[in-house]
Amino acid sequence: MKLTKTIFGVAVFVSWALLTAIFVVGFQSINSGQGNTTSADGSTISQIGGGTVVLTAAEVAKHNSASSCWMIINNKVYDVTTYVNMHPGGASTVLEACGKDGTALYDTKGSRNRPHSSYADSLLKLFYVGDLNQAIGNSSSANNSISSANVSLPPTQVPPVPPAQQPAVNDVVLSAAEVAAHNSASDCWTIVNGNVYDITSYINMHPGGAATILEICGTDGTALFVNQPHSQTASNILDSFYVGILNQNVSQSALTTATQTIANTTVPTSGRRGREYEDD
Amino acid sequence: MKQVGAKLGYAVIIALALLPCIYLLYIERALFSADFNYLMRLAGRLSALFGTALFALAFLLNTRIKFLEDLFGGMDKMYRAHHIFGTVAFLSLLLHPLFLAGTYAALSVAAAASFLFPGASFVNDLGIYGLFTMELFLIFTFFARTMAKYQNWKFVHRLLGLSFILGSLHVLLVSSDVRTNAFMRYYMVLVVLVGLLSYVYRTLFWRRLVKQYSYNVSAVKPLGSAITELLMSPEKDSVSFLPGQFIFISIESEIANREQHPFTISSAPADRTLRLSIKNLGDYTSGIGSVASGTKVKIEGPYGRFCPSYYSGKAQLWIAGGIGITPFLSMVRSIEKYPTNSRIDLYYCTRDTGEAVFLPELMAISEKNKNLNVISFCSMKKGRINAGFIEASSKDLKEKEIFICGPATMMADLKAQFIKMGVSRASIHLEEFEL
Repeated sequence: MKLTKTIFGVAVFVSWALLTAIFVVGFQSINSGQGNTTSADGSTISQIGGGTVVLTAAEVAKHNSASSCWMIINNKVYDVTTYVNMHPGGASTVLEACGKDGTALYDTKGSRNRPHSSYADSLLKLFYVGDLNQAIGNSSSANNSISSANVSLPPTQVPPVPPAQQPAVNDVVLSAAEVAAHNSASDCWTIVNGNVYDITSYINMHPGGAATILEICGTDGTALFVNQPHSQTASNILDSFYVGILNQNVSQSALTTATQTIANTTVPTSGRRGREYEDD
Repeated sequence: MKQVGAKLGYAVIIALALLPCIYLLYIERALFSADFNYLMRLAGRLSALFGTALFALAFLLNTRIKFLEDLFGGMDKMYRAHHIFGTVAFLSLLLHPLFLAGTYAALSVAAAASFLFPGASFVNDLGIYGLFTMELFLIFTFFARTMAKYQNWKFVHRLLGLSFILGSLHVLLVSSDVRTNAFMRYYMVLVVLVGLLSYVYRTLFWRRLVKQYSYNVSAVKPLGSAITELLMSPEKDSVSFLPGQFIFISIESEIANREQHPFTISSAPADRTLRLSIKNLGDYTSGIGSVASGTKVKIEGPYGRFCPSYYSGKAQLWIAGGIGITPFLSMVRSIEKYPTNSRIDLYYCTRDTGEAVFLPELMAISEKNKNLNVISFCSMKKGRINAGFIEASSKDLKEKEIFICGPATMMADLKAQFIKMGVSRASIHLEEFEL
């Protein structure tokens, strides 16, 4: 019995040491905005070019390779490029469906005839681009992921954006009017407590449902966010979508890359973020 | 009736807990890949299935069902298995979220942290709270045993049933193989039901359903400085038992708190008066000295398979350490009435002669029965008893059935020494009661 007690004690101690480490590192990186949300393949999305892309089957069909893999599942379009090599069932089973409608394959796991887990469902949401035949604004090249802040990747894969290279002429003022322009499910900005957030990629992950979050797209969502009982985790998640302070100047090209990169590198704001800035 | 070693019981329980794991590996056989994420996720699923099944079966081992006692070779060993399986179940369940967090960690540490922290999804929260409360209650079980009052300790230990309910809901509701695969679903529902019914039976219906005998305290006598003898006579039916078995008693008095405690019977089965020889070790045992004659006692049992009578044709070696003499007292007192034909050597080990309070009675019975040898051994004079000493005076150990009852370290040491001498494990019997 002594042995069981010792093993139990050691296990409890080790597990808590590990948990504490994960929580400290994990939540710190959420707070600082690292390690979350950047574009799927790290590529720049040009919003300057204007124009829209309609997510037709033909458009999806262009992305039919391992280097750019889109697919349609239940009438939604997903860019799963970064996930191809992480798929537990092997890359080949995903590649089969690149550029096509993968609903049947997804629902049956091919010949295995059983659906994917809810864990898989939640991962899939991370790669959501838009609904089939939906027009996606401010997107250009076919080779790029449209949804900007979309997939969580290890911090090392975040492409640093050197501030010096950004031309100042492209500055955008984060005014209420600018925020109001981002008022759709495919491009959703909001203001909470005087900060501007790009929460597009989070819409479909919101535990309270997408509908409640869509209400605040393009507007000041402070009241709704504060009046609903949101957890500390929710605040941390919100932080990770930080774009800048209301009425602040932000460089346009930096804006169009991952929002997080902006938060870390180009926008020296509060003391906390300022420190991060110096680190970079 | 033949005594079965605890091995069969362990094998059955482990097989039942491994079955869903093996089945999962079978249905996944086409998908195996060396991918880190896949392996972490597979390990997470396996640890959950194994841990849940084992947790459920640990409740079954606490039901005191007689048929299970045969499987484990005694209630004492069944409780031991209950402790071990409960702990292993916890360790396995503890690994489950860590493995799954590993798959998130491939995305980012932040994703892993969010996954492990409650609030992400209701069904996951059930699992998180189940495991967390299980951990709290087990910490209390392991580390507050001596600090808390027995009654409170037992209450907290029983709360583990709530952790089990939370965890089971998580297992059955979370989207997983248990939901998508019919066999897996039925099997896990069945296993969870076994655990749940065992728990409900043990906590809610036990007192009303279990057979209990009514006795009255006829005398309470101090014996030496540290032992109290409790003598009880039956109101109607008397317990029928074999020498070496134990009972649970609950004394209906304020002093004893009506708590249920296990004691080995020290009287012979033929005696009308049931006798317990209790060493004053804690609050409860010390309080027994002040129980009044005539107090009602409820008796449940008998349990245990520490019985030399299963091997009545063979020569026997009985080794008692201190209060561990009690099962042998019952055996020797029955020899007084029904002399034995096989040779029995009883080693009565105490610290000094003052502690050997039962020695005169044992010697007197031994003198009338030439097959029974009583050897007194005092550790103050000769050091701890060892197998070499016993071999020298008893000879032919390999031919004998060996029964040892005493402090845990003494039993473990002697067992190891005997095995080293070539005595087979199956011939060594230990009384391992630690509730």
